[in-house]
Amino acid sequence: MLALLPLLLWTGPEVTLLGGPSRDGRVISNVQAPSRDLVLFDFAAKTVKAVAPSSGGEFAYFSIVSADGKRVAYAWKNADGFYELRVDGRTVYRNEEAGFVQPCAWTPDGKFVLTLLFRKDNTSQIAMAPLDGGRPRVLKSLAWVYPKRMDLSADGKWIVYDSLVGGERKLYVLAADGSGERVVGEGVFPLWRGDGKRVVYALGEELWELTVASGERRKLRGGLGRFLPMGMVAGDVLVYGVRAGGTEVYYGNRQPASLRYPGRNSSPGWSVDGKWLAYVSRRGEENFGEEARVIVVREVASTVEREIDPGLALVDAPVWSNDGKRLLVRGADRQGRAGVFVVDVASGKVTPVEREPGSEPGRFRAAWGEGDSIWVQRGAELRNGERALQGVRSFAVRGARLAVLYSTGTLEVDGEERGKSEAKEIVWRGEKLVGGGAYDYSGEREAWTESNARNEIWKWELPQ
Amino acid sequence: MSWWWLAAIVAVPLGLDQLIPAPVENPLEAGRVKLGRELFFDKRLSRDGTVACATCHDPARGFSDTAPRAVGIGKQVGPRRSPRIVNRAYGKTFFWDGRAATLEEQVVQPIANPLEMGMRVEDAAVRVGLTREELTRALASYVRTILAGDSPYDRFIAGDREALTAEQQAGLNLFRGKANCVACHLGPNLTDEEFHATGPVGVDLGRFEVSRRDEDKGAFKTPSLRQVAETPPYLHDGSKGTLEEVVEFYDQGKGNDPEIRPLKLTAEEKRQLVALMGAFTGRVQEGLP
Repeated sequence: MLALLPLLLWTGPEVTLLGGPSRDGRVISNVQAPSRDLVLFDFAAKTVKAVAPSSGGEFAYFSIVSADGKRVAYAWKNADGFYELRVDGRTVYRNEEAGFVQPCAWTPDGKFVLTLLFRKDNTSQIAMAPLDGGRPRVLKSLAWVYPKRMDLSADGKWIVYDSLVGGERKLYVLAADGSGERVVGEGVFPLWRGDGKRVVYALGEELWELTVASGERRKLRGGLGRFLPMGMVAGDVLVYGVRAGGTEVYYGNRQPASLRYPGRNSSPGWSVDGKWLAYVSRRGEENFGEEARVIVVREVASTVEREIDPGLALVDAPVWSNDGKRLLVRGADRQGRAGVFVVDVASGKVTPVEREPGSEPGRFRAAWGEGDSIWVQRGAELRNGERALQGVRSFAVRGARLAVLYSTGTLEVDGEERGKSEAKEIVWRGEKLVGGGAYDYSGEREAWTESNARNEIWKWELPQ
Repeated sequence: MSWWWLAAIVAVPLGLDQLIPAPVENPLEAGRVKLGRELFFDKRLSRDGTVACATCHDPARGFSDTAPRAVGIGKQVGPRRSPRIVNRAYGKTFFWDGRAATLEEQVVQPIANPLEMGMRVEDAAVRVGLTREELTRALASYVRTILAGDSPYDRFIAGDREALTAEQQAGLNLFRGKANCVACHLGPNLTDEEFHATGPVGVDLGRFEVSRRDEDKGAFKTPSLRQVAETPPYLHDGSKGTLEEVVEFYDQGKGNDPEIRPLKLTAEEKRQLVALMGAFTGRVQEGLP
């Protein structure tokens, strides 16, 4: 019998890959873009039903649907700035100490949700959260790393998850009562097949299957692009998401910065002499996080490129030093501490400038000032040595010149007020200031990031 | 390598993982744990019959003792402090220098160490009517059941916002922030199980003796901070008599590890950190019900 081809179920600018299908395959939960409303999409009727609309800065994130498609468990970012676990609009777990929660699977009796808790000390925990408001039962803790996906077998007895060990993503099977655990293979985004004996998972752009008892593996399909398994539904059908399109860095007369890794590039930064372009490029499997990034350094005249892997969990926004030997980046180290780092271009050696446990890299921006001095913005504070400014939204440095955009919208250049601005970020373009973001100007050429990312949700009946 | 970790279902104290790792060759079993408990207190395992495991790992003292460095048979003094051995079931390596990869490897080494108990393990086993393997498995099983948790810190982490005093909560903010203790002391067991040269620089080369890597000179495994307030003196050489001295030492930032730098803590902040460490004292349980 011929295997059926994958079938596109849903795509559109509003579709994200945050959510999962019901076991009966009728509906899928989804956090819509850009509204962040949590909805249920009915595959047959092609209708969208609101579950939890975003409200006043609060919104849903990860979600899972019960087997019968009637209940939705989801993470809810609350007004206090952390996530809580909600079911059908009711909070079942709220604890600031576990600031991030990710529901992953319902137990067959519908009384517990297999949940990932992420603590303030960068420890992730695999836990069973009861829906009666009781305390979650922590089965296992993992330092710094977190599973990209956990799933519960149909009989509710076994959990499969992935975790980073020694630089490789290993697959584990953990007894749901905490009585045992076993390493079973390597890969990411594991899901149980309906028989409870086999696991499907991603390896790069390929979908693989593992028979747990024997360790036997087989490739089911390749060439799936930047995909991630989202759930198994009745009939051994896999529902998976694909990130089609992507982000690209362009410079000069709209020349793409990379032909080797199209659609994976962002955050360009020119060297002071305009001869070198640095940008961030994504590697490895698709994931919800931002890890597996490298810095690419391109000599514009020769188009020769070199990759620098700084060994950070996240790296972004490279800014060249005045001597062209170092890059200032924001990011997070492998212990989850966000901050600002200096990367030596020749050796790739990383030196932290500022780190903050349990923080978000997006809180930081940095730029070189005169000489080797460094301006660091952390939240609303901008600091260079002993000099500190408060209430800052964005800033731009050009030699000895400093432009500051305050959260009130007031723009100040070299200490003098220059009116109001709606921009979120600012960048010097010659003598002028322009709205920033993923944009830079060398004095001769521009460089910028364009995004044409599009998400697709597919289903495929797995071969027996 | 791939194997099953098997464990008994134990009512673990709040704050610890339900999964208690144990190798498939030595699953937690009540009879073996009971035998291990008896052996733990049995001085016949030492050459002159004066030292038991519990001599240096006293249950009344957080499974450690009060001596700066371990004292074995004939009052011989070893090079390092007797570590607290609570929650070692969750350990990834054992001893200050990590020279044992499993509890089964670890538990027999003090018996054979001439400075500690000074006996061939086989001879010690014969003395108590067991084989070497039976002795090893029983001792390791018992140590796996020594658990400490349900402390004010654990209750706070679980969501009880009243469990820590205001001073301790300020200490926790320092622990995670300015003082950056969490760089090494994290997770349910308050340790990264890694090796760092953060302590006093001396003649003891620590992890280097095992790895032979230059960067490991003077590096020792991060100890768990559970029950720390009740188990002075501190550090691998027992050179700090109080928690105040430990905080003062790290405030000066004299260790060799790149994570170590002067912290510039105020006197009040130092008090807050010490207060927090008192909140790591919880309930200690051992054996199986």
